[in-house]
Amino acid sequence: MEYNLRAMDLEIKAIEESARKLKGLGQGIETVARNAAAILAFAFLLERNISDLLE
Amino acid sequence: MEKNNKYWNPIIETLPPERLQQIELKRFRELLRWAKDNSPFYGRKLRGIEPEDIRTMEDVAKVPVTEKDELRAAQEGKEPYLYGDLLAVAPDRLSIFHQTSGTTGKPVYIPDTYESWQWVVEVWCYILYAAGFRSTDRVFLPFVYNVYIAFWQGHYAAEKLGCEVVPGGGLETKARIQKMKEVQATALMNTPTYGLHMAEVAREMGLDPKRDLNIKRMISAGEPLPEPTRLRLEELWGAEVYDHIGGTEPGGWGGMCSEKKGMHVIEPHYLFEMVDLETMSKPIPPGTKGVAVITPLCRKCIPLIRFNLKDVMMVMDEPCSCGRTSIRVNQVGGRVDDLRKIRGVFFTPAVVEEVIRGKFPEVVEFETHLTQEEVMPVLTLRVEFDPSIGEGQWKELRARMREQLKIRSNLTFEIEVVKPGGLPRYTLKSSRFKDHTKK
Repeated sequence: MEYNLRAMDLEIKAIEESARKLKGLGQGIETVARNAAAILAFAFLLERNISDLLE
Repeated sequence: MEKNNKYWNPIIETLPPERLQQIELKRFRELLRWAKDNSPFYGRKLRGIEPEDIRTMEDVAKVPVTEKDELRAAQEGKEPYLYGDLLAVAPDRLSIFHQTSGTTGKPVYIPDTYESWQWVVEVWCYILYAAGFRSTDRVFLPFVYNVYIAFWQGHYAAEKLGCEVVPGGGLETKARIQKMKEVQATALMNTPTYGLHMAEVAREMGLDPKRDLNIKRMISAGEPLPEPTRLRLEELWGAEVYDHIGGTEPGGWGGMCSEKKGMHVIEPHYLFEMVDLETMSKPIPPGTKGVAVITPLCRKCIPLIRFNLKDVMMVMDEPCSCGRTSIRVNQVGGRVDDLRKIRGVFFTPAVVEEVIRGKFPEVVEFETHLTQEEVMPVLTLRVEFDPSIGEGQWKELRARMREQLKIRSNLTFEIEVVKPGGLPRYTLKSSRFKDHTKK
């Protein structure tokens, strides 16, 4: 099966960017900050499992 | 779209070994840089080493190995409290605490940030998925999980896989068995010892685990699982039994696939190396016994670089028919800490377990004692037979045990039979080897 690593990588980067932006918009609201951090933790795993495999 | 049911990550798990190594080397350099800059312990230890210079496995071998004693020393009496010089993140980023069992000395404290803990869990997902755990499983964990890491990882990973997790701690063994029956659990996480004990208790309750319980697969944690014990558990439970390997410091770093021949290292999340037994530093080729050295590549809060696991292992040379391309290892000789030279012969307690579990199903429990009588070391095996074994059979069994142990270890054992229920039932980190010669 062929996987589109590049497209997946772009989506992972978009998630990271979006989570960071959301965190900033939250201006310290705890629930926004913590949930955005959780999203970033999972984005990190996607990065390690997918993005890092790009040559 | 066709769904791939074989791998947790079909891309990573089938990458060519050279590509895996390339990714690992890149991650190793990043980790070195991070550790040097953020952990005072590694800042000192890695002085003079330039991460950017590490390009090959030969370069990796020039980086000093980290010993457990160093971790202890870096924590003891140092700030910030508990983690000392090892910590590489701000303490307020930590979200979970674990510690080693302290079997070999003072415990080492290993925390995780939310992020690094998710990574620890993710690695366990690779292990559980390879062992056939799926979202259709109802997984029973018959343990109170506390400061030790093993079952926490398993719990969270099973949950992430989509399994239904039944935390079965806080109950007596009989109540656990009843609960497993009641909820019709399909999978079990267990220590090998407790798996054997549960089967024994189930039989006392008039239940045959194979017939009356619904366990289809089991994963072992907390202790080594010699092949005869694994087969015994499969027979008793009528289940597929898988081993995994890991520890508090590195997390779970390898596991069995459906072929059940050795354990796949979870690459490229870990960098795995083998060094020779004599110098404990020279890299050795596949097919040779050596000591395992591991680097978790994505856990940054307490970096661990080339950690000496003190496990005697062997890398398997031939590719696995499951299709995974990662390094595969076999645990062949127990722990370096347990190795003893007795009457000029290298002895490891793992040999006793192999013989007893492999050839003597009559044995319910056993312990090996090493004592010194005047100048002579004496090995005594204390065994407890199944109550169905009459005293008339003991003599023949003892003789056969002595013979088999002699063949396998080249050492003579005293065999002592203990009455039913006379030996403790170990549940976690069981140490059936008692060295009374140690001062």
